[in-house]
Amino acid sequence: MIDFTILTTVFLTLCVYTFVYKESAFWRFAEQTFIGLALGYTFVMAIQQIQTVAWVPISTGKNVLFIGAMLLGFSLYTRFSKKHAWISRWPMAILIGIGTGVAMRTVVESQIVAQIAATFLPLVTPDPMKTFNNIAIIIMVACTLFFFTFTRGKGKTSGNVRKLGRYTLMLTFGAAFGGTVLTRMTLYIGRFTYLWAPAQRYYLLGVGALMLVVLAFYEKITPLFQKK
Amino acid sequence: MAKYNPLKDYRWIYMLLIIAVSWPLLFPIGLPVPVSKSTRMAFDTIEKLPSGSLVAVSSVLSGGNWPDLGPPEMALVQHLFKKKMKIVFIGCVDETPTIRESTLLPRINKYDAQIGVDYVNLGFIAGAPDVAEAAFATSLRKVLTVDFRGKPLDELPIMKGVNTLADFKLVIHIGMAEDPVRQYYTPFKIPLIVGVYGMMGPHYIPYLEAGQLSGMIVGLRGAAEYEYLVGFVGEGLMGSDALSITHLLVAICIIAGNLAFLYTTRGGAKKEGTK
Repeated sequence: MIDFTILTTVFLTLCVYTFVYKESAFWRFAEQTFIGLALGYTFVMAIQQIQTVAWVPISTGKNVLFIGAMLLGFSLYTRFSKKHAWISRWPMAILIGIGTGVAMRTVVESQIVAQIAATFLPLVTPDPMKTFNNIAIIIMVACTLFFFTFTRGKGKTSGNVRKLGRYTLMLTFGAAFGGTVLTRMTLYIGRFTYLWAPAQRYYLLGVGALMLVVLAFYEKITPLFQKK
Repeated sequence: MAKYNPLKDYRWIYMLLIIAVSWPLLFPIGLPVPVSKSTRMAFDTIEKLPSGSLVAVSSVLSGGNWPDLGPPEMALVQHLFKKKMKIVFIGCVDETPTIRESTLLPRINKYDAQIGVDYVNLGFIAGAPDVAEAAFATSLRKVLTVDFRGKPLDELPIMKGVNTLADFKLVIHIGMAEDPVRQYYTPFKIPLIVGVYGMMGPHYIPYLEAGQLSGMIVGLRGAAEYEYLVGFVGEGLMGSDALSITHLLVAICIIAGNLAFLYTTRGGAKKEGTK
């Protein structure tokens, strides 16, 4: 018995991976299917959210103030009319204001004060490795901060400090690059682990072989369609 | 038109990568999985919690990031269920509740956990992660009246007396680390464990060193370490060999690329010198 869920998953995954070889009709089909599905899914979830969060409390009289929020939400669509587009700026301003306010309210404590406090480290500890790490952290943090001091002199010492700061930044970027490679490979590993699981394996081999045949003749098939 | 040179075709690298990833998955090598400090901290934090503690698991899981964020969440949730914790799931993007219902929760049947009593999927809260997390942390009853299956929160035993994040003993966030530190840890000072993308791991070490995080699982690699500690084989351990081999290949490619660059630039300089 054919499992159409697995068949669809395997087919669409392989469609996406054909891009590694060359852009093809398979890839475009998967891309457009994904966009359509994502849009449809987001639309349904948004309607569901409006219904449970706003519409039910309004209709049951639990919180009629949500009418104001819904009106503000709907007024976002006035941007499609040139005459009334100015109205959409109000809900947008509120959205940006709330978003920024909520994000900023603990920034000073969590990302400035706590991080500075974490660099006040003991320079001598019983563990030699920890001592080395602490000294390295203090020196490298100071040098990196100095690197971003743009009103600076041209002395040799300050130049060396900035150079150390630049090397610290380069080390950080290197670690970030390694992590990025790790993540990209993880995505492929995740897909392959799924495709090679016993339930999917035969679908992978069957669909893969069929797609390879089609791709092999792709360049011959395409002109035939173009003539039509 | 330049003549096609097969040696300069970048697709050879893709081919090598596909082989490097697939081979260890087909024929596992069993390379050692050393447990990092951040993973060990996360494990110890959960181990120290008494059974029956209420834990919030918020995340930004979606189909696209499942291979990197799914295994950490799966490993942590398995541990929580094993320790008989009460879990409240919340999503910060619209895909999260659906992917949990279809992919994550069916795998925890073995623990005989009862929905509404031992765990609940509250769905998702709209807004950027910061706004959704702040809403969940400070006024979850105002933004959520029913769970993802439409059952009123007042009828769920697990939600009895739960109004803010202060009612939880631990928060786990799967996604990034800045926003949960801002919205969960800083205002409530509740232990926070994060599961983050592999690429973001190095960026969040300062939060760990500052004591703002009680543990961190970094992508698939972190999940492999955690699975090893909990004692089950999941996607993390299955993919760890492939991850190690791929990294080795990428490192070789980088070294080879740099050597080739040095060789060509020095060669170019010499040629200019002779002219």
